[in-house]
Amino acid sequence: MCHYSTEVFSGMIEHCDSIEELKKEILPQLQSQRNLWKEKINQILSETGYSCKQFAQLCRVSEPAVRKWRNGSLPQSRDMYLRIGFAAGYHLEEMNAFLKRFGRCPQLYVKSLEDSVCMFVLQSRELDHSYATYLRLLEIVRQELVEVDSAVAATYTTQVITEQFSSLKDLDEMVQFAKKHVPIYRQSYLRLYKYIIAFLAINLRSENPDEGERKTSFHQLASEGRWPSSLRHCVSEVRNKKWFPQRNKIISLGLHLNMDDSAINEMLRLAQMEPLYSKNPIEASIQWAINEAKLVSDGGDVEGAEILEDLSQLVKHILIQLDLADSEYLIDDL
Amino acid sequence: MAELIVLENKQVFSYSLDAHAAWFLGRSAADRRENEICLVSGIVSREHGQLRNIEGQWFYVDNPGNKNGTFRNGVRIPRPLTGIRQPVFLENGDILQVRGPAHNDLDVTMLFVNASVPGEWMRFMLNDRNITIGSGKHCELIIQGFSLEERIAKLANINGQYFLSSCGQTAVFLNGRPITASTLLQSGDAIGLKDCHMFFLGTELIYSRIRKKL
Repeated sequence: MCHYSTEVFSGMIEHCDSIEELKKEILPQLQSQRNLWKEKINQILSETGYSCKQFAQLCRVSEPAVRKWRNGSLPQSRDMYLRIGFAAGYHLEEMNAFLKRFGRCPQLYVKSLEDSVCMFVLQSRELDHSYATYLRLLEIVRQELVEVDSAVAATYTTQVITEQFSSLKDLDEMVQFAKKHVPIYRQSYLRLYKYIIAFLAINLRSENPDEGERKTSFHQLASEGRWPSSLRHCVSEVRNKKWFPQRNKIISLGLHLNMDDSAINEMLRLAQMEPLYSKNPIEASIQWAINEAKLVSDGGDVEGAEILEDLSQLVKHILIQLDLADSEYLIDDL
Repeated sequence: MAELIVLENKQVFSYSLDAHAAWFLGRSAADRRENEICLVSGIVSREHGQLRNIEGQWFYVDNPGNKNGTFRNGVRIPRPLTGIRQPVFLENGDILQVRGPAHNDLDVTMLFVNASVPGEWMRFMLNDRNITIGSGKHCELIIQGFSLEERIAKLANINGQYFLSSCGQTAVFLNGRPITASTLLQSGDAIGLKDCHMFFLGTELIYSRIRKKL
């Protein structure tokens, strides 16, 4: 178990010279996500005193599902982490930390209807903090929004909306807040979509005749790069402003587009997620691979230029060599 | 409307960006195109970067291989991997700078403005005085505005050098970043006071009050 800070680990990865050093010196110090999760869920059950049966009822899952979690099996959706967080009795800050660190998914986002109702429940002094309460309130709010005209909207920053949200006192005010921000709910991740669309537009064709015309279209890129259909579907959803981002898909998309860590982290930030995490073995390996690609890029290594054609294949090659637990989902996407 | 305000050689130039979806930024070329922002400083590469409007959002894109890179709000825009161009969001009030190895008059400062109406640029001579800036009538530099405090910022002359500090509730930005203490100013620095933008030129300020786009 590593005792270094994330910043120290980032520095170690940056100065790591070879995959052998990464494999033998650095990665063994990191716990896999599965082991971390196993520790966490057992800690939750111990602290709350719930039996597997009781916990399963609170989370609205079967008892065997809870037992699997206790053995390290990871919950498969953000909603499931929310249920677990409610059952654990978390307040808002704890829930956000739990989602980001263990769920590897976005923290609660005030510009999302579902999330804002969840936040309202977690912050309420009167309401019972349970998943059941959250579902009940969500249904009430949704009913109120059915006929709200969302054609016209003022533009509010997240900060302004968060300030308005923090002053809500009761369900009526929550409903009025939701009605006012219906257009925003429908565009929660607009800046993320804009960023991805801009990246594609800028890199897939050039309007400067002096640069030479890039003839690669997205379809050609995806075809030559053998993108999985799920990832192509993500891009389609992005263009239609409908995509609900998942961390592994953001990272896979970034690697297929030859984005470096700053661009991938920008996408993660726009999706309300943490940046690439040096203490996660898979993400540490990705950071190392990108650093290697940058060294080749900066050094003008002609031989290395082939590798830079497809960063995703470089990362895939490295992940296969390292044989890390839980890396299959990412390797499949690459 | 989107504008790029360029400060170079102590002169201010304004480019209205809405006429084109793409603008090319670089050192002057003989055959200049209509959508080119031509700079003369030797630290700017001939093809330095681009401003692109994609689906209503403005981005800045550094050209790979430009020698000195570009700073956005005081932070250098990272160099992407070979062959990749990385967009950077442009928001109202963002500062783009090209800086040479020695921070001096060769540096170029650009202010991106996205406002409902254009601003008018005015000059204010400092005359080695201490200057208080705000909407109050006792300020040496009075800027009228519905959202400006009576006293917002102060420029203190200490041994011929000017130091910027905040003296109100409003955040004061220097080259796109909020200041937390009295800070030495250098010629070419961009100062942001709510919806008022300024350039410090050593002996004078060039400033404009621009209403933000709602």
